[in-house]
Amino acid sequence: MKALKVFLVALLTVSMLCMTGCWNYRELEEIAIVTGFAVDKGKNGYPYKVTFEFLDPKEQQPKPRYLITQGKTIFEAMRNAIADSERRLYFPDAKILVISKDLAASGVAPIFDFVLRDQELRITMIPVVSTAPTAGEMLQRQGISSTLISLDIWKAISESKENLSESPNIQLYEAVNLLDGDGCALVLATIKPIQQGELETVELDGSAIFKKDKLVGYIKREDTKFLSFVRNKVQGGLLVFSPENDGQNITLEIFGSKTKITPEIQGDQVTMNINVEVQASLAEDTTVKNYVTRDGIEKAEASAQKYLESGIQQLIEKTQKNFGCDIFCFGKTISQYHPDYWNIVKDKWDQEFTKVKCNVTAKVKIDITGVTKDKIKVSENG
Amino acid sequence: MESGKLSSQIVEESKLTTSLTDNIVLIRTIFKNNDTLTMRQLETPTDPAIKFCLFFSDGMVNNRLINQDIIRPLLEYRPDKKEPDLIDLIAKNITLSDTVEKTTDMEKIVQAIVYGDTVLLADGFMEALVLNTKGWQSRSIEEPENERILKGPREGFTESLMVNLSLLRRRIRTPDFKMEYLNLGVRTKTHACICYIDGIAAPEVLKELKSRLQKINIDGILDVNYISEIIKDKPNSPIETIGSSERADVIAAKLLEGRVALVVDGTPVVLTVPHLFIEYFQSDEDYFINYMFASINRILRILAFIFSISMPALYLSLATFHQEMLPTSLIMSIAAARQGVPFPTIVEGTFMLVIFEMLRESGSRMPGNMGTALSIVGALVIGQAAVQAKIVSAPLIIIVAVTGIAGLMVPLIKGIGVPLRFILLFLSGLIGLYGYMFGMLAFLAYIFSVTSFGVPILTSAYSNDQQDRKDILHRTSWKNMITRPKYLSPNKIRNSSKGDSL
Repeated sequence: MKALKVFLVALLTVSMLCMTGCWNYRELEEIAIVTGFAVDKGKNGYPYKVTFEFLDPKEQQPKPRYLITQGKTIFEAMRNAIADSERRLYFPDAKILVISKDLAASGVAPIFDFVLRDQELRITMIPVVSTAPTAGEMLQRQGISSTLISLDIWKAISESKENLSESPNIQLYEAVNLLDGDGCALVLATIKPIQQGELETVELDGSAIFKKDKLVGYIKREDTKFLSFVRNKVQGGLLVFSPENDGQNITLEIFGSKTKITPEIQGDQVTMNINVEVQASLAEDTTVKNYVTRDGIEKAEASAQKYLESGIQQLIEKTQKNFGCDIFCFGKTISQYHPDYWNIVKDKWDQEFTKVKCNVTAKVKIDITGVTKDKIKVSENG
Repeated sequence: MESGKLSSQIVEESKLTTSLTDNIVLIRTIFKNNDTLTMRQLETPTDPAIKFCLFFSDGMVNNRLINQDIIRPLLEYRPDKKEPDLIDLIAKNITLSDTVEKTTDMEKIVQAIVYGDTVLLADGFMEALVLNTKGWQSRSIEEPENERILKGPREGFTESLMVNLSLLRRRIRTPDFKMEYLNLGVRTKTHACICYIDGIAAPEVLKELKSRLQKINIDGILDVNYISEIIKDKPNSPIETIGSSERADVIAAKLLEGRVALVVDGTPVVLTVPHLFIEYFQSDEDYFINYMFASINRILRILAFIFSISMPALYLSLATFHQEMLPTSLIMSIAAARQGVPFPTIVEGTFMLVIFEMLRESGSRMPGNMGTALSIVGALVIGQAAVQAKIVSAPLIIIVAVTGIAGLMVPLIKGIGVPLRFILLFLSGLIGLYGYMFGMLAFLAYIFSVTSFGVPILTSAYSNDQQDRKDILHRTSWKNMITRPKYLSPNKIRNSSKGDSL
């Protein structure tokens, strides 16, 4: 009996040890930590060219090094990288996947497939589209705050959510979910090369619009902000507008924003009632007038509302006309309010979307005027 | 009186006779080659037939007591004739000694001489008188070095049994406080004393302790640890199931909670049973300072223990198996620090932990004036130079330092902490966090299975009852400390300041 007990315990221990997946002892100096990679179209018959940015393990300070490989698939390109590098590439810290615009135009789904399948890559990577001719060159530019450009881009996109709302912060798994055609089109952040003094770096540049998984166009940063308003994704950011249309601007800082969309269906006509409510503070006033009066505040609020309403309206019309894909998730809203109607229009939604009418109403409330109430007084009689 | 026999054998075989000369020869034979034995022969001036002889060990006695309380009255005793009950007369009427015992037991007489008493033999009597003249030097009462506190009583035990018992008695004055003597050690014949408070201590524990003490058959007891390792529930277990302290207030508090204490002569350490696991983390200061601050300290001690056994293992797992669990910036700095280090992390970790244990041990053993040299070698050579020379990586030094400091915070638990630290390290080196979990679960399962004199040592840690938890992770204020710890005492209520109800 005792022998049996010992045998059973031993059997359990051995099987617990052997049947689990924790056998990969590897020292940190044996791996090359990849912080991001870019996928381009390859040459010489290879469909993919992959540029890896990884931490130079020979340096005390974090410095980037690059490895460029080609392959028939992305995974093959990665395996080819092992032949080129003395260390194994290590992917869990990869934050950014840069996709060239050529590849994006021919479809991003095949690229995402590998990231989803591989156990080492995280599905929380942020895919971005490069507006420069190749994605690889974007990774080889220099970062401003970090020496590794991938971390810089990743940080900029993550923080933009709270401070700017001018770049979509969509992680890879969210992008994959958007691709399933449930009345919501894919939008990814874009980056463009810029020169900052002597530094050749990159900058966030609005959004890339996808129809299914193919790139169809871009919208600017300001439009991306309006898009965020419609999709109820605004957590912070600025509203800059000129109340008198004379080039003198007021800046409102957004504290909170809530967007409610209710679809109305009359016959074949779909009308979306978009109701945006914004709480803001008066953050900067470069006009000659004083807006910190009861009437002044109301006037500033009214023109902010007008600015928002027209911006959103114009973006929707432009999207309907130029791209014909539902980046505003109207389809999803309709499927929630009117599932029966959605089942009818689901398959031809891209055409139906272009006919949707929108009523945009914005309500901006200026709660505070910063830490001061008064404007700087400049004596008129010198 | 054959010269081939051992003194102890002679003691067993011989008896006193009525002849003083024979008795003197007998005792001198027993104490052959033992020059500290002092003999003083006396005669009564009026009647030379009345002869006395005193035996005592030089250095163990208070000579002034012997001169004034024994020799002087005897010399001033001028009887007309030899009384038939002279020996009783001396005991009752003549000597000034506070304790007088009449005996014929050779063993007792020899023990009395070696323990500082004076033995008086009279010519014509088989009996000897044992007179209390103990007076040797002992250390004064000081605060124990290794159990210092900031606030509270500072008296610590000394090596003298009687002083120690007086420290306890002064704190607990109820007549229910019992102290029972016994002798331990075949050759050292060490005095010991079982202390308990009748009506509070659990009778089963007391009975069990006595029966275990009776089974001890060892030639010498120099410290309580000899006893503790013989009588504990699992003699080979690294977990202490018998508590010990050098502080009088700690032992008094434990007696009041229903524990039984064993005070042993020759050591300032006093044992208490049963010993719960949480007692490792309880300091007497916890009860003397504000309960909030005491609770914070208690939690810190428990955290420190967990740190001290886990930190190297967790670092090793994260750095060699589960790098994906580290934030990117952290993995980057660790990777940079690891550059050029020749050894794998597990070798590095083991090496540095062993070095730290060496530093600790040499720090506690070396003469005080070498401390500066040790700290310079420790800080400069091992800390800075080793990192600069790329022998070890800087993060590992930090881990080892934190581990070491955390380990020193709960010094009593070292016996289990240090081995466990290495076991967890090797398990982690084998299969990563999975191995660490294995080790921790096994450790937990083990300490849940250990008992101390029948009381499970982790008994209250998982209890849902408020009174059971009052003194585990935190200490509640004294007003709410209503009961004694669970299972320790049949008399549950210790404090009715709030009213009698629970």
